[in-house]
Amino acid sequence: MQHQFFDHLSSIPSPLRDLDPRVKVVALLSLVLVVVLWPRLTSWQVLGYLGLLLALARWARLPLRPLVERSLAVVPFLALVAVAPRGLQLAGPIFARGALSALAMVILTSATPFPELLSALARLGLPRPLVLILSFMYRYTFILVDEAERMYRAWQGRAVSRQRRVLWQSLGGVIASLFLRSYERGERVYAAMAARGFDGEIRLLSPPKGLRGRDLFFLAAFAALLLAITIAWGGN
Amino acid sequence: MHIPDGFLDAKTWVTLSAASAAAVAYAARQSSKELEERQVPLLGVLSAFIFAAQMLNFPVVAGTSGHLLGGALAAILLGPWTGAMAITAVLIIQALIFQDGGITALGANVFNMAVAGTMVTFFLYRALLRLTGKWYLAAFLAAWASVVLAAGLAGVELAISGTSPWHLVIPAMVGIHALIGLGEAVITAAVLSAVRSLRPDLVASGLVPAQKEVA
Repeated sequence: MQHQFFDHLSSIPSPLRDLDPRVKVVALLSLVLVVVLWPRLTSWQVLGYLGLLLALARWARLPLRPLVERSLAVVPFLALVAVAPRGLQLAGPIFARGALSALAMVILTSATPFPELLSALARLGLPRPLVLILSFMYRYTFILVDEAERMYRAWQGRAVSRQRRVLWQSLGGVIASLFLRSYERGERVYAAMAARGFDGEIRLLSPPKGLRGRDLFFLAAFAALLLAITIAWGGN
Repeated sequence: MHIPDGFLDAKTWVTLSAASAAAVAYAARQSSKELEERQVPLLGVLSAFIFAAQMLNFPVVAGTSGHLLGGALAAILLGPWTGAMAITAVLIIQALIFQDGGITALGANVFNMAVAGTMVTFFLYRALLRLTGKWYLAAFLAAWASVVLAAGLAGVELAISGTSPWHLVIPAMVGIHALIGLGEAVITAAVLSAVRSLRPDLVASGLVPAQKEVA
């Protein structure tokens, strides 16, 4: 997990990135739902969804490698399925579902800057306290992960015990300092915000825009393709 | 133990999503009572802390390593509601950005790690504290239990979904995490002990509860 790559691909300019984030969320989540819920996926359907997603990734000018790597994150989990009797037969469809869903999510978050994604989720009904927490978390994760990495490197330099328990305890000390630094930073941030008149309400400088023609066109085209693949190659 | 998409059947993930949504909504209300308007910046920073702390690996056995889950730590330092909100925020980021856990499985993962691994763990910690009278022991046991409980629940959900047979998935999940949980337990207790000596005021302000019993 590398913090500097939180949403680094979203700086690549592309037609997909410029769409309203809400239509991207709705389109890709509906693909995930279809893939997860359709009772029996045929190989043609799997190939169809894969083709649709890869075309989308190409349209978004996303590099293939990181997309594939992250979609394969489900592989270690498959061990739990595959070792069972008749598990290999089960593992195929589960792998297809897991990997296609992950690919859809990587494309969504790689073609959408995180603040835009959050505003879309907020307007689609994610509860406000969570949205606000996530937006602060996004800002401070970079700082705290940097801090944690520096502290961790220093700990690795001085943690030379062969005893696991001693290592664990000394890492506990590192995490405690990280907690205190984070807590104190949180207090300072709050104090600075209170001094500037923060009252619990976040106000945006630029009000969110409405849906445009191309957003609706994209949504309609995506829905049509999704439906076509699901029905035409459904098999049953 | 972040369950990906496709590993749970519809009845399991829909039920768990509904349960988690209700629990998180309740936690949000309770947590805003605990922290008032400060909650937003502070909770965001503390969620980022949990996220960062989860990146620090510790050696477990023969070259394998584990990392902190932080459920018990968040529950004991921040209280059950605020702690659960922080863990939920971390799980959302992991599912959205890192494909660490699926999006339809998010409700299940929140249930295992934020509801059981944090909220339930808090009450377990309090009960253990009353029972043993030793906060260090209570924190150790609660942290171990939170990891094993979350892993066990993930195993149960996979088995109910027909993804993996009971006799295989339960021993595998619980067995591995019983060991990782020891690391979690030692680290959680060590963090709490250091915070108590460095910033006793955080303890006094109720972040580590039941200070009287501790002293």
